[in-house]
Amino acid sequence: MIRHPDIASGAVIIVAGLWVAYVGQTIEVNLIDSTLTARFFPILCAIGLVLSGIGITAKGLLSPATKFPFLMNARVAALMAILLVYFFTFAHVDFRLGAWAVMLASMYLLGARGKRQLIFVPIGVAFAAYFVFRFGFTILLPVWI
Amino acid sequence: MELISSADFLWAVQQLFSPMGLLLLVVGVIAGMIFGAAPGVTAIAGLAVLTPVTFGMSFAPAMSLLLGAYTGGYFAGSIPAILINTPGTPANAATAVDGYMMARNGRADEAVCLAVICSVIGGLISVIILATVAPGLSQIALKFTSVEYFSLALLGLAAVAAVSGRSLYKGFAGALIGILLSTVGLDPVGGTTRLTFDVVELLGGIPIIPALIGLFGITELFTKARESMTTTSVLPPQNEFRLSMVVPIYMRNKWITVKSALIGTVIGILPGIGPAIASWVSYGEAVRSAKPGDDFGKGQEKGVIAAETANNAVTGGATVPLLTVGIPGDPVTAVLIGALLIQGIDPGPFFIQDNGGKFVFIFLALGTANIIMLILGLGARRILRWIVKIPNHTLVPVVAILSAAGGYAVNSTPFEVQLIIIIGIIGYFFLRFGFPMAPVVIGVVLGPILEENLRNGLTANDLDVTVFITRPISLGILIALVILVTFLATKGRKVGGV
Repeated sequence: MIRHPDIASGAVIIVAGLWVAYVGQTIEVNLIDSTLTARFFPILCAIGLVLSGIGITAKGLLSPATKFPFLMNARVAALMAILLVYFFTFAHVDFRLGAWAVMLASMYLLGARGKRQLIFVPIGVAFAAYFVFRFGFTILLPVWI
Repeated sequence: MELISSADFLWAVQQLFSPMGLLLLVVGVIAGMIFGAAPGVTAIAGLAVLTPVTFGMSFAPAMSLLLGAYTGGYFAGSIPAILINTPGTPANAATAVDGYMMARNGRADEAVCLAVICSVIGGLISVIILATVAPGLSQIALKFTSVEYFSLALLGLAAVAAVSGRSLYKGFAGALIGILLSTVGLDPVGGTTRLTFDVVELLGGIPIIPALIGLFGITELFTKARESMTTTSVLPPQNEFRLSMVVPIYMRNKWITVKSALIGTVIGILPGIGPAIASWVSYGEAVRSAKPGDDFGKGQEKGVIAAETANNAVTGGATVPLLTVGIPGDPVTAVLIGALLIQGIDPGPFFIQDNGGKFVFIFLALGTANIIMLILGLGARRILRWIVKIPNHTLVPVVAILSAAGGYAVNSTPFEVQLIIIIGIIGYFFLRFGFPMAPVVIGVVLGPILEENLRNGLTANDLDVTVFITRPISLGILIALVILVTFLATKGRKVGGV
């Protein structure tokens, strides 16, 4: 059982640093470079990450046992799922429809229960955002019609 | 040589005081106030979301919008700090100490009025110092070589890493991750690909604006979603505050105001150190110089005056390193660098020399934004109280929609939008494990500056690394770095970070 969250996060940083160092070794090097190679900076960062990770882990080991941070509840997980779908399909769905759907789903998920609120706010926000971006800032958003 | 001509000044005045310039400045101040006043959604997130909408704008309207939001956001974070003891930004945490107690004593209106007026005074004093100091500093910066730039960028990065969050190691890990993100794409010297994993869209690197939206906007949404979805206020009946009372209050506290404005401006000028440090240092100084009977922590007006004057004085101060050496003074000016790059402007020592009118425009816009903030803040302070009550269930999806639309505005391709949510989700877990976000952002912005100047500096000096300590200015900056990091790591961390 890991007794302090810093031990886990430090270990993750060490692994990330080692992985970057490994990937950094695969960066092509131009042998006629008269300056630092393209892999120098990523590997320097990797070394720094490993050292920071060791420091974080050591601090965790020396600290009194602490509970792990509560990473997410069902609400955050569901919101992540909604936003993942929304952001990954953003370019393929009419902005007004997507914005309305994500507003409605997120508002309900986050505790809005008023019928009028759930009917009018998503429609209002979707169209207001569309008009502000399209005609206020003249930015083209994906639309079907 | 005359850096700024009367024609530059005239151009700036014409641009700023055009109907569109003023309208966007007002819109920016209002948007900044909404983002700043909504508890948990910071002014930085607001600025990150607003930046992509400036793609279709020329310099003046774009900067009007963003500088208005910058100014309004820093002030408005004091509203939830005073009314519900929840600072809108880390910079307003010191305000909450006495501001909330004033509200508990029925003096919320007075505290909000003081916060508005102090913010404006701090902002205006810092703008005057910006206009005075920046041209001279940019002349000095013209003498800098890559060696000095590398040392200066390192100073900024190390300072942010040292004061952010509760762990020095986590701050540095965050900064290194930010720098790593900046190395993705084509190597600027040799043209080889780095860390792209055969993703064609990554050849151009990780675009800065989607990265900022993900790191600041999306992470905040998930953090907000974890919390209770309702905000409650248990304040007693409130007294109305007559504005005529302001003058005697300021006459009593004029020296604290001036001292706090100077503290805020000087801390803002130091690269990498933000308004949170400024407001706590200023608050600490007010406590140190307290007179008998000044009961700080129990609703003392001096606490609000010191904290709010200092944190808004950072706005002008932080733009000094941005416009003179191209190094962001705080995380918000890191976002502003992105906005300047959109306009095709590379901030640095040549900025004022080549863009005198645009420099004048920036300080005029900051000054005017403060005046607008005064009018709106005092005139609409009762409306601002309602912004605090916007429920999270409405605010969270609205910011998500604006973030997605803003990301799409960058290139009109799905890649940037998808990148925002991926970075946002990773950033959320990063935050949950106690890693600060500010060093990551500063790392993303300063990474290319560090790498380019390190490589150029070493190339020009036959790969001799001792050049960083044999050149006097670089040596001085590096010594300052060691002193600053040692000091901030021991003292600065106690004040809550940037």
